[in-house]
Order: sequence, then C-alpha cells, then structure tokens
Amino acid sequence: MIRTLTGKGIWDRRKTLMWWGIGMTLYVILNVAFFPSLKEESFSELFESVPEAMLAAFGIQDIAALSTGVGYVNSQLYDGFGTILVAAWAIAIGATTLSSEEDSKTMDMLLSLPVSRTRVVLEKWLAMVVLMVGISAVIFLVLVVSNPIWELDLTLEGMVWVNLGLALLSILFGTVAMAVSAVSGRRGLAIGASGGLLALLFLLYGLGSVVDSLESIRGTSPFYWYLDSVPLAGTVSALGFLGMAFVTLLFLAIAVLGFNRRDVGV
Amino acid sequence: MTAIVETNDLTKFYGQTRGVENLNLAIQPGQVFGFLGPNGAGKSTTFRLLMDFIRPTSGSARVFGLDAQEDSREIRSRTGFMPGDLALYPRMTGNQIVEFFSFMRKIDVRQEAKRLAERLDLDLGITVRNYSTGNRQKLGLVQAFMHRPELLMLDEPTGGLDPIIQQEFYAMVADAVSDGATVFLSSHVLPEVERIADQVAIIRDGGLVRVDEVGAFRREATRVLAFTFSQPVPEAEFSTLEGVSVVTTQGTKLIITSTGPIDAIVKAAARHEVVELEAHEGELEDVFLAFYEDEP
Ligand SMILES: Nc1ncnc2c1ncn2[C@@H]1O[C@H](COP(=O)(O)OP(=O)(O)OP(=O)(O)O)[C@@H](O)[C@H]1O
Ligand SMILES: [Mg+2]
Repeated sequence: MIRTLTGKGIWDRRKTLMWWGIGMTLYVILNVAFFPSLKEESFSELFESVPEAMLAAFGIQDIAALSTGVGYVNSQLYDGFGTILVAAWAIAIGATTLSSEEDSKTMDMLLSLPVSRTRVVLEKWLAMVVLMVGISAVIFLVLVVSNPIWELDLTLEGMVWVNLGLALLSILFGTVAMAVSAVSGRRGLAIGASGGLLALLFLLYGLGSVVDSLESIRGTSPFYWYLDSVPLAGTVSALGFLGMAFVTLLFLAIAVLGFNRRDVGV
Repeated sequence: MTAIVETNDLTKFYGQTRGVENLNLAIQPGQVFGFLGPNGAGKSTTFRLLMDFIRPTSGSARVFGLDAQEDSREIRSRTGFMPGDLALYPRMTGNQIVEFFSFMRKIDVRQEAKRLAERLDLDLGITVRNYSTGNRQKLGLVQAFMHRPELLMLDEPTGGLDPIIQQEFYAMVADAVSDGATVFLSSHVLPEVERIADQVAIIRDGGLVRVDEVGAFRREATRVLAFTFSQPVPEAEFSTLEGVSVVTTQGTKLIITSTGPIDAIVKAAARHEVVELEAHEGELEDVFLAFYEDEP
C-alpha cells in the first residue's frame, strides 16, 4: 500500500534496489574471494610495472597496504569503483525523480494534490536517502558475512563507519543531481553535471596523493573527507562526515528553493 | 458575493511565446463556466496558472478569494483538477491511484471513487498502462470528482469518451453543481458547452473575445425564415430591418436570413397575408466559429 510520496519513491524502485543489491553482492564477493590467494603472492611484484599515478587513479595509494584486508577491500570497493557505482545510482535517482515526472506529465497530477512543492522535494529526497542507506546496508551485511570466510580481518566498527560514509557520499552526489534538476528541470544537465563532478572529484582525490600540484586542493574532494582517515580501519574523520552531511543539506536547500521558484512541466 | 475564480490582467509568456495576455475572468459560485477557443488559444495555460504549476509573467489570479500562488495548497485541497494532457502513473492500478490520492488528500475517498467508477463503467483493478484512452480519461474524471471538491477545473474532460459516457459525465457535472460546486471546463465540443454551461468565454490568441450567457449566443444564431404570401411582396420592406442579412424572392416566397430580433420581421410580414411560414433555427456552432475564424 502506497501512502506517501516517499513510500511511492521506494516502491517504484523496489526492483531496481533488488538488482543493485544482487549486483553489489556479487561485486563484493568476487573481489574479496580472491583476497586469500592474492595475499600469498606479493602485490608489489604484481603491480611492479604499473605507474604510481595510474594506481592512484584507481584508488591504490600504497601497494604494501594491499596485503592487509583493510587495504585490499578499500582499494577494491570503497576507494574505487564500488563507491563510484553506488554514487552513480544516487545520481540517476536524484536527476530523474523530479524531471521524469515533469517529462511524463504526471507532475501536473501530483501537484494538483494539496502538497507543497517543498514536501514533494523533501519526500522524494528521503526516498533516495532510504535507498542509499539500503544498498549500503546490503554491502555491509555481505562484508560482515565475508569477513570470516575470506580472512579479511575487518573490524565491525570499521565496516559500520565505511558503509555509513558510503551512504553519506552517495546521498551527497544524489542531492547535487536533484538540486540541478530542481533548479533547471533538465534531466540531461543534472546527470551530466553531477556525473562529471563525481568523476572529477574522485580523480582529484586519487591523483592528488601523487601529483604535487593537486596536493593542496585535494582536501576539497568529498572523497577525501570520506576516505582519507581510512574509516574501514575504524579511524573516522568526524569533521569529514559532518562536512558531507552539511554540503548535502546545502544542496537540498537549493533543490527546495529552486523547485519552488520555477514553472513546472514547461 | 466573491467570485470563485478571478483573474486580473493575467499574462503568461513562455519566453517570446504568448500563453495568455491580459486575461480577466470572473466565475461566480454555482456556475458552469465553459471555456472555448481554438488550439493554442491559451486554455491550458490558464488552468495551469490557476493551479500554480506555472507563474504569471504579470497580473494575478484568485481562487475562492485566495491568492493563487500564496495559498495554492488550500486552493488545491478544495479543487478537483483534470489536466488537458492527462498522465497518470502508468504502473499503478486505478485502485492504487485512488488510494494514494486518498492519503495525499488526507480524506478517505475510496467509497466515492468506487461509486463514480461504477457510474462511468470503469474497472479500477486495471493497471493504468493497460487502460484504453477512454478508460484512462474516466480515471482522470474519478480522481477529479472523488473528494467532492467545491471547484472542478476540467481541461477538455470529454475527449476520448464515448457518447453514453459523455452523457453520464454531464449528469455528474449537474450533480456536482446541485451539491453547490462550481465548474470551469474547457472544450472544443460546442454542443457540449451549449448543453451544460451557463456562461461561455471565448478565448483566442491568448485573450478573451467575448464572455456571455449561452442564451445570448443562442439568440444570435442565424435564423432562416421563409414566408409564403398570397401575392409577391417587396424585398425592401425586410432588407432594412435590424439583423437581416439576406432576402431572396422565389415567386410569392420570401426567404429571410437574420441574426436580429425576430419580432420586427414577423410584424413586417403581418402587414401582408401569410399563407405559410417555415422557420429554421440556426446552428449555434456558426456563432462560435465566427469568433474562431481569423479576422479578414
Ligand atoms: N511549455 C510551453 N512552452 C512554450 N510555449 C508554450 C508552452 N505551453 C504552451 N505554450 C504556447 O502557449 C500558447 C497557448 O497554449 P495552450 O496550451 O494554453 O493552448 P490551449 O488553448 O490549451 O490549446 P489546445 O486547445 O490545443 O489544448 C500556444 O501558442 C502554445 O504553443
Ligand atoms: Mg489545451
């Protein structure tokens, strides 16, 4: 039974959530299942010929750290494509949740009901938040189960923090996408701008560790706020996490104001 | 008595494109107000301004005496709306939509929705995507009427409905009005407006051309009167009368086409011996079409 806009936002994407859940579960398992065998070999030998900058761009900053569970899981998931994938889904939701209703004209029907535009934005945003927390929770659970099986030596605390951070980071990018679409009403622009920003900030964080000229501005990347303190090791940067939450709320405010100001469905 | 809908020099431009310009409307409580005009005249733009989906370039609108923008939420809680470009959530069933709208409106309208669906012969158990055009339209009507709103704003509500369902819709409008509702509807179907509207506004190129009672338009419809006299009578006695446009003679028969008062013609004819009289009520449609057509 669908009673709220948030409930509808989740219900509409229940199958997508299921597929993302299955996909991420496989992705995590495929990665961590190789850990015991790779641990035996020397990672340094494996990556000998690969340039440092290339490794950095892929989230590997310290080859020696790869032989630990924390270092390995970080490079394969959180410091790498796992985070990018989840954030990309958040962007897809954020960019379309308002604009696809405008394009298909169901927005006229929705706004003919006695709801304020502020509530429409907030409820749709909340649905995105729930989905991001949901997918992060799935990854968390898969990791908790995998931990003893493939001898990852991860702490429960570390797994909690890193997945909370994952949710926060993806919500941040989803909110940026939603703000762009709320202000402009253009879905393509929302996906392009926030997707580009995601790639840019990810590279800035990765390359910043090896490219001197980027070192000084590396701290502006939300990936830095999220990952630099290595939350998977249980060392979380409270300031970094609060920073992500703060920027999210800032963009949420922009989304609310933008959607209230403009013509809808034109 | 405050007007239910009132616009003051309401103007909307989409960039350079004119939506409506200096529109002044007043719809009184209990009226069925018909909005007629050719494609692109600005009817949907007017509805969307009143619903606060879009904001005026200049001018303002009030509904229930409330500001269309500031108090939009209250206005919408008391209004039933059917968009011209109707789109309902394709993956939900009729029942799910009724239920969802019920919760969003914070009143349980499921019983009333069921009653209306039966009236319109609509199965609410079907997914919107699988409805035929007409059935989707019926669901649009059900959701507009189901909370028994004080004001119904219906943008071309009967497109796609078969004639029997159209009759049922007219009855629904009549019932709503007898329950105290006001109805503002747009249409391209002239007999429909003639049949259910009290007041008609004709809009063209974004501006009102004329607002009047349906009766006033009807009185202007061209009538054709054919008198057969006992002997030929001079055309000149009739051609100068008010409203008379054409007079033709066929022997003792005189055919008069007029949009003016019928009384003068009858009195002029009574001066002679009338053998036979035929009268044809003109089409109201012609009156409206005259407004639709571009000025020469
Ligand atoms: N979103 C929009 N962007 C640009 N121009 C628009 C937009 N919506 C409407 N218009 C223009 O505004 C004018 C009025 O359009 P509107 O839809 O109000 O007409 P209408 O009377 O409802 O016509 P119809 O009988 O075809 O439904 C038209 O010239 C139309 O092209
Ligand atoms: Mg229209």
